[in-house]
Amino acid sequence: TAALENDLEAFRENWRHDILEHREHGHDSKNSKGKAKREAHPDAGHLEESCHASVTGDLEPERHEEVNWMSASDRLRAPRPRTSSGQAELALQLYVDAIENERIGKLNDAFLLYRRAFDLNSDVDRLYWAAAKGKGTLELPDPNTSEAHESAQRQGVDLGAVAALGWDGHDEQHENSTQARARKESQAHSLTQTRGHVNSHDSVDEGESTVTSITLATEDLALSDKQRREVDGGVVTQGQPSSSQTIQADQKDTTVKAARLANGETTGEIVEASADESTSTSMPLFSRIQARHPEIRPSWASLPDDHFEPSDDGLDSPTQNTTNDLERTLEHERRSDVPIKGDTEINAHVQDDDKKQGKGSGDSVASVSGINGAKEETTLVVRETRTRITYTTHDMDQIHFSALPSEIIAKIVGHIAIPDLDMASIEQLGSTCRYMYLKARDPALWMKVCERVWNEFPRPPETKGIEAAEFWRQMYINRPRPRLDGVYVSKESYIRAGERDMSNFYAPVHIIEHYRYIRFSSDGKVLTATTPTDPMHFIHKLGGGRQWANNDENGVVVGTYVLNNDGTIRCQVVRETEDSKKAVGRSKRSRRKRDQLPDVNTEYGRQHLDMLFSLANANMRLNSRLKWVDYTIWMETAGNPIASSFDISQLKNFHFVRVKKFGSRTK
Amino acid sequence: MTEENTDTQMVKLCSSDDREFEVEAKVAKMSVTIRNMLEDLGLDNDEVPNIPLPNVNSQILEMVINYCKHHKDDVVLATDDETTRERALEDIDPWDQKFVGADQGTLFELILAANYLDIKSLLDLTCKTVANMIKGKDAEEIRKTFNIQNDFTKEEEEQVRKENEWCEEK
Repeated sequence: TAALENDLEAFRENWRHDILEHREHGHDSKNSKGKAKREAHPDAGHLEESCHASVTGDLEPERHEEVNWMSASDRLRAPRPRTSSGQAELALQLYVDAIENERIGKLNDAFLLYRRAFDLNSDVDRLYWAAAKGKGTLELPDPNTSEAHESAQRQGVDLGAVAALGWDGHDEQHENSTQARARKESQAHSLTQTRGHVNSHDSVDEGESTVTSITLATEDLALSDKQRREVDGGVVTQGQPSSSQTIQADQKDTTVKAARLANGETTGEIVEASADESTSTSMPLFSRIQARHPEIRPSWASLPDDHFEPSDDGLDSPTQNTTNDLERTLEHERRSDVPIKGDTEINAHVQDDDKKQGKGSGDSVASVSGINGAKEETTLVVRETRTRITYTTHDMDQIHFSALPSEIIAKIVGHIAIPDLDMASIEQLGSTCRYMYLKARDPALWMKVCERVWNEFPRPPETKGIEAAEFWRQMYINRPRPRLDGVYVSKESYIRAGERDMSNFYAPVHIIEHYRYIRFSSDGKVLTATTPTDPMHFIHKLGGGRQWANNDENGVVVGTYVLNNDGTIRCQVVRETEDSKKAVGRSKRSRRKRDQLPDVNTEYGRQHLDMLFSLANANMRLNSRLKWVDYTIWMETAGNPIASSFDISQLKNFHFVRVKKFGSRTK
Repeated sequence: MTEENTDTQMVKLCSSDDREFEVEAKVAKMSVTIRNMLEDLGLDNDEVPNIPLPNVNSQILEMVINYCKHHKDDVVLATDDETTRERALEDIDPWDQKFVGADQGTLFELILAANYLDIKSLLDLTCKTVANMIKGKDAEEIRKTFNIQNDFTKEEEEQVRKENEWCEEK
């Protein structure tokens, strides 16, 4: 209680300071705000009956507020009134105490209290949340008023009574900082709620929950005004390096708490509405689904470090704000899905753990890997609304896909992607359901894939937010790379005059056609062939699999390719000529000669084919054209190798031919 | 006691439904979980250690033991060897292919068991098998294969489809 008292004192200090500041700034539209507030919270009627402080903010608000807060803290200190000796009531009380204890970190106490509460009344949680729900519906503003809320918000008006009393001045100073404002709004809002309860609820349980809220609110506000401004400043100017970790942490803390608080009270419609608005318009699907299913851990939090450091000095970086924002949106969006049940899980998770020992083990509890306390709180919240893969019809004797733990599914997805780079299958898998969508869009997965394809990368965005999530996938899609699910074919044809017959009557010509084939593998190999056989009859000979090797019969030669950073591809192939093969054969027979390879003293030479291509999109298909940039053949000879370059303008470009068998669609 | 002695010694593995399997320590030790347990117990020649495996039922345990018996003499490569780990999916040897050819439910149970018992090669094998079941199928086929409910909204589904347009068959 001493700590609480301190917090309260700090809050009062702030309050006074704010009011003073507010008076300096003048106060127009005070009444309208008051009205908005009254409309928004019908139950605040209680409040007004007992004391008019919040509505008529001009009338010495401090005093009234002080009274309110005092009464609240008194209530905390006073022995709990036992209106009835009924067990249910007691259980409820214990339960509420447990929640409070849990919140302030006395998990052991909380645990014991939960246990006692459940011993007394096993339905206590339902009872509690029924009460909370009842309260929630009471307070839920009807659509009209929430519209009023929104419009008021648009005008930059802070809605809570707190704002009416002094925060709006403060607010106007920082109006350009929407983030800061949003945060403050939620603070103000929670405060309003709290005060509403202090005044309006007499029954034991609600009184108790009020106590919880008060502590939350005070803690939020216990941030000194100075600190708060520093934070605001940080937000506005996108973060000086000076905005220290603690402040960031505090800010996060606040956000989480505010969200949680609002959560408990089933209000905070404003923030929620705006969050929804922004999410539905601007957030990519990934984040939206992720928002709804936070338990699928964002894997950019667990990207392997050995590849590069995506320059996240974590909390210190100004971009942390975005993450913060995102998190907040997550909170609200989730809340809109399952408000009451989610709450139960959050607050009662200790009890939950206690009870669920017998329950299915598939519950992959999000690991609490927080950097700071705030993070831990988020992960607690994260436990609600688990996505699962849900099944259509289910044979109860069989284990379903959904029984597999998350890391196993990631492993399976990994096997699809690597080494075959079968991203088409990944995308199909991602289209099956939300859970798989998140798994299939895992940035870590796409990063690994990109690393297999390229050697160098543009610097990934510094945030670990949405852009980072899509960064690797977008790179994979948009950066030129050879396609693996088919063959590039070029058809050369030329006319050669034939031998004239004796009469000179006929002048026969021959149309010579031949094809070049190139097929790329996912591991840097390339199969090439130059043959008169047309694709229909030849492509299957480039089968791949175990066949990534020379095939003399078909004239298929294996080589290697490198994807250069400028987007060109260099293919290098060594072609054994008939003579060089003989040379090899001979030297194999004679041990003495083996060491002399290549046998430079003979005329037998191998050909080194050095081909350089650029990739282009054609006919709306990605990377479907392979253009010659350079083609040189080096002949091994007795002396220096002889290079002969082709005139690439005479060479036909390659077109991509998809081959079902080569791609993902193997049936 | 020498390494060989410990390897030929028998251990008893007890499934969740209380069936006991007696196997060579060498076989049992393919499971890292069991190996650690045995090390903790400190093997003694006189008695046959009894290891309870409450997460594995007898049917699956029997399969796992068969797998381990078949692979007990495999050369153990460095566990994180990239090349072995990334062997192409089609490179599953025929015995293994037959081994995992049972129904889906059994396959998943094998995955869970391999995960719990920490038998890397079996886990890889089973996961690859599932990966192969997914590869080359379109979303609807995957849903059918695995009984997965489509929980996208209409709007989301449309967006996913758009996002995936780049890799559509062309």
